[in-house]
Amino acid sequence: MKLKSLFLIVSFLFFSFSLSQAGAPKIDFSERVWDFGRTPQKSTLTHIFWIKNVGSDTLKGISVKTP
Amino acid sequence: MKKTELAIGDSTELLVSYHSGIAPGRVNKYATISYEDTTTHTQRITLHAQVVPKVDTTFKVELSPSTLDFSVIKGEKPKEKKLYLKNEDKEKYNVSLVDYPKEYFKISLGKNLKPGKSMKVKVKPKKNLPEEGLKRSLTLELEGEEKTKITVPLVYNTAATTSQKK
Repeated sequence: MKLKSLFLIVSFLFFSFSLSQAGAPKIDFSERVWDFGRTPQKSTLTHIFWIKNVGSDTLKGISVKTP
Repeated sequence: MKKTELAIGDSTELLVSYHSGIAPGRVNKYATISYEDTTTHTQRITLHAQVVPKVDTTFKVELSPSTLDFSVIKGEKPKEKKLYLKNEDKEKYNVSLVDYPKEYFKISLGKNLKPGKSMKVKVKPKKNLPEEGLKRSLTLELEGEEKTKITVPLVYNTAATTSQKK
């Protein structure tokens, strides 16, 4: 009986977890760090990062902030 | 950034500009990317640079010029420019191009930089440089005993007259 209850609890927890993960967007980057190396003073440097949605729902409201 | 919404499996470019400032030394900068789900999620990307004086005597590979300026008077076509690397060191360096704006420039260079020798890097603008101007950069990696990256700013402006050309 105890084993059956334990099994039911674990199954319920697993099912709840799975539901919470279903249909969620997830962001991934080509890289999270870029090193320009040596560069002159007073310069503007640029790099393109690629952002991809690797989740299971649409990724919305993407915005970028720099300090 | 071209898109603010991505379908499953879709991707987009994020162009990040980094201003190196005046102070020499290691400078780290961050950008935060946020997106909406049931809550707001944030992720951070990091950019590093080793800012050096325009005439850099601290590294054994001499680079000139430190910036490539393709600016022209309106109506003129931008021309190919050359970057020169001179190896003042006793070791050989393998040179590779690790990042550059493919959409706007075509670049050719050698592979090895032997001690005491020079290498030419040819940077040719494509026909689609935007009239409003452009600031991008290219990054080379020099591999000797250690790997060192060097980033060179690429600048393009169109001016109405010679006095306005920067």
